[in-house]
Amino acid sequence: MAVLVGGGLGAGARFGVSLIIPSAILGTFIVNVLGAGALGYVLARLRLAGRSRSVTVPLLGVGFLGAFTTFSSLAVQLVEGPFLLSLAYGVASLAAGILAVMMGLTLGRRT
Amino acid sequence: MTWVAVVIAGGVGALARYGVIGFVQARTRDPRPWGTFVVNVTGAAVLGLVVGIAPGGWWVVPITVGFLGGYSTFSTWMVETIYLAEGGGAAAVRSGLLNLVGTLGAGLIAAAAGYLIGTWL
Repeated sequence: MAVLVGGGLGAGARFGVSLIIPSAILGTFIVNVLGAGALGYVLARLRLAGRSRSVTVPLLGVGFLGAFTTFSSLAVQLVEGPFLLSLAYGVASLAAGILAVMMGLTLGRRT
Repeated sequence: MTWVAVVIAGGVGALARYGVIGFVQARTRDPRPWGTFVVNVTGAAVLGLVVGIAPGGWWVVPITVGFLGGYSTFSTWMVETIYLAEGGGAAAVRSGLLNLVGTLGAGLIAAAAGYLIGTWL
């Protein structure tokens, strides 16, 4: 139930971002990097507090942030785009995503 | 109205992801995140297929942006990659890199295959 509610809100929020940001690629990039960083932060925070089994995980982690970010759009945009743009977009997405998770985990692990 | 449909479809997609990941992880002893791999690659294939067919109708955005967006996930993939790579030397870093490159590669092939099949249909 928490996954369903969180996931619906996450997908709705991503749709909202796509209406505000005119470029589909930029919109996907922003939600993915933000969502990855936030998931790292939330998971680190919960583990630190010993609350890894709390409802926050399915609601906010699996549901909202899982659905807020998307892999399918990224993959199709990379396939559709011109080669050099896709190369830059793909490398930037992965590098920024990894960096965001590391920042989120570091921030979340601070006591 | 589209918004409501996206929220509902996105929730169902997230729930399907939760179910598929649980199903896959329960059937492998391999601790690597195969569940996330499966949802992301299948989600990319189906989105490629839909984009290739290029159908019209009110349901396209709820299915693509809502269901498939909610079903596939970037954040979990990134976090699991870091978890794999963390604190275990060169082998762990290799494992994380493999998850990163393997998922992306398989996802791109799946999206391209789905797209090509969709344009033929």
